[in-house]
Amino acid sequence: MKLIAGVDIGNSTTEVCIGQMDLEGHIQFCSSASVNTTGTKGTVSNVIGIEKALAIALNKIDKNISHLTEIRLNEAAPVIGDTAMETITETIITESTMIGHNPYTPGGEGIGIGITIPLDKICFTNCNEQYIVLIPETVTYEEAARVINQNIDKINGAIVQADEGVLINNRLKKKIPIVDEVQFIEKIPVGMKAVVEVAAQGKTIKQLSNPYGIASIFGLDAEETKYVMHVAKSLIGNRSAVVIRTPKGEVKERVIPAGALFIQDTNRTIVKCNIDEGAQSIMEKINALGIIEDINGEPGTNVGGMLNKMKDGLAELTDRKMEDIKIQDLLAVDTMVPLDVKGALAGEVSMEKAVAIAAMVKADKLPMEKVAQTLEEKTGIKVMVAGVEAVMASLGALTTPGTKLPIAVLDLGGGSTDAALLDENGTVRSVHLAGAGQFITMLIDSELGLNNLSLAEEVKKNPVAKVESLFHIRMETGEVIFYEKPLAPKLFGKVVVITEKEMIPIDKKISMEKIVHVRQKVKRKVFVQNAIRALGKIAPLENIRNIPNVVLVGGSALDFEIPELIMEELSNFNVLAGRGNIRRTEGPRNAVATGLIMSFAEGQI
Amino acid sequence: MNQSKPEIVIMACQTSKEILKEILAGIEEEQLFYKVIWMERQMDVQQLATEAAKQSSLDVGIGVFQRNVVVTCRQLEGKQPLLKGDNGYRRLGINAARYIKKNPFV
Repeated sequence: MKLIAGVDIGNSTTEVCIGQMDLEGHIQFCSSASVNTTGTKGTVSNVIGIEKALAIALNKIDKNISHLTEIRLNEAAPVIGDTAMETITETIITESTMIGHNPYTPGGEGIGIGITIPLDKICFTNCNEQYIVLIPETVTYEEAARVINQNIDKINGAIVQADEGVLINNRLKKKIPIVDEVQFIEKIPVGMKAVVEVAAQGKTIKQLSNPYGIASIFGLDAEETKYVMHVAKSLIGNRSAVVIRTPKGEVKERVIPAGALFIQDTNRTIVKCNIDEGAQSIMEKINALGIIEDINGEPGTNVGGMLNKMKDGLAELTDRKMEDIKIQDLLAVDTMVPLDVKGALAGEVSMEKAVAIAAMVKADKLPMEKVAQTLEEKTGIKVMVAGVEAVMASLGALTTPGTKLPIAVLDLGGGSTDAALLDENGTVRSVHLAGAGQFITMLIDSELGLNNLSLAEEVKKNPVAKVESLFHIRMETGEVIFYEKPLAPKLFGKVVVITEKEMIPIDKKISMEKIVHVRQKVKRKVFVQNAIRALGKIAPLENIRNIPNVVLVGGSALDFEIPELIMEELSNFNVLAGRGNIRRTEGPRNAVATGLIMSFAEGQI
Repeated sequence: MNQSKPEIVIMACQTSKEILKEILAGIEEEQLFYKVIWMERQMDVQQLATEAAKQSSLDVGIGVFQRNVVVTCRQLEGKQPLLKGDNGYRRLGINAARYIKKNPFV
């Protein structure tokens, strides 16, 4: 009786499988476990994680490490992924010419035009002019209303620092539009022509979000109207807004010189690709090339800096020189990122264009022998580095009921998307592509403007719901769940992420629909695109239709919607695809570790 | 429903006009209606809020006793109230209204 352990070290998790072989060579699987990988994949620090996982798995069958005959490590695919993002546009307000935000409760409604003036100066003005008053938070709403009422004939609108728009409005003899919650009211230029617009409840502004609307009010010519386009654009969808015209002020969208990528293939052909052309064009060029040797960014540009930073980080991780780091695949995705507008007065944000990049670096060979040696020294058990990861994964995947050769395995990991095709003759073709689970987390984080990667990770993995009362929530599917005990008031009215343990509130004004939309869009952009790219590369005659069945494995195959999104797409090619169920029990996990034990049995016969 | 007008009921006891005014300003800014009932008999602030919630057609009541404020709703009778505090009165008023509008608290 021999007790064997298969160990698979991945970018994010280390998985083990324990098998028992009787004297006739029959294998019986006994136990398995999964822990987080300690340190970078393929380095000696992995040993701590391996020992922990072995102990957990062996404990389940009342054994310990000394009972093992052999530990088999995978020849891990030497692939490390990294991600980065750079915005390529930026909105800047010079001399503060616009305020566009959505205070919860602005006051009044309509459009008011006039010259900006602090409230305490209004009584010194003459009657022929029309004004917009600026009310700092030191003035109470009652005082503000009293002064406005005294001068009502020459006041057409108000800009208020405190959240008192409705309070002031309710005390006025004549209704004027009032924008409130303007944080930096002291920065508003005085003595300039301004327009205040507040839409009726449930509506959005019309005049100031239209460039011709702004042109009509300020009497702009065609050339000047061109410049207010960005003002109008950034005000779309707001319930209230202010536009002020100063002689030099403007809002511009600055395009940051993003630079170009130089993609070099193994035939030494170099293709130049401008980032401005967008992700689609970059991907077309990358996919058209054969095997990629290296990818570099134009020096002195954003993308150049971005790729250098990535290579630098990877060099440090793998303890090599930066020149030796070659990027062998790259996944570019266009995204929109909400960024604070520079020079804004009320915390306005603007959606900026950005390009996100995931890169994959192949090492020559990970120092697995070193890991094996250390593990052997520490445990006293024979440790073998056995088998190529792709072969092991295919062997393991074949234990999924309903599969047959030739079989394709799509490993949806944390750092990379790997695919392998094993045919009847035992030949294996495999490919590693950049972009996987961690890339999705980064994209969700930036596109929703969360600035919190661990929250983004939860958003990726779990459905969201809206807390509609203290006793019930509505899930994104529309279902309603009731609770006997009241929920915490801090969750009330918010969109929450439903994890297994708790509800995490998202403290931003983002609707549930937006979150679901972004989450699924990002998953499609990364995994569906990568599935097609990967299968296209390994398929016989490079035609996906020639692959009979595809088994999805890896951590991201556990996701509650990624497998469905991929299946949906692959069904268009008439390919049978589904989430793996390794050994009928493990789901899409443990394929490589299982394969390692199966390969041990074959070696013994 | 003993009333038809959709209003938050505030039951106040031994408190100042200034505190009350701030709470009411918060409710008004959120564009909701309210009704104030002055209580002569001394009552616990929690009791005041519970009683106020019972009288509110919106099921939301605010109890004010001296400097203490409790916001609760009828469904929470006998349980922890929605909010309580002895400062930031404007915000307590705003959040009481936001509860009815099903908007998250500020």
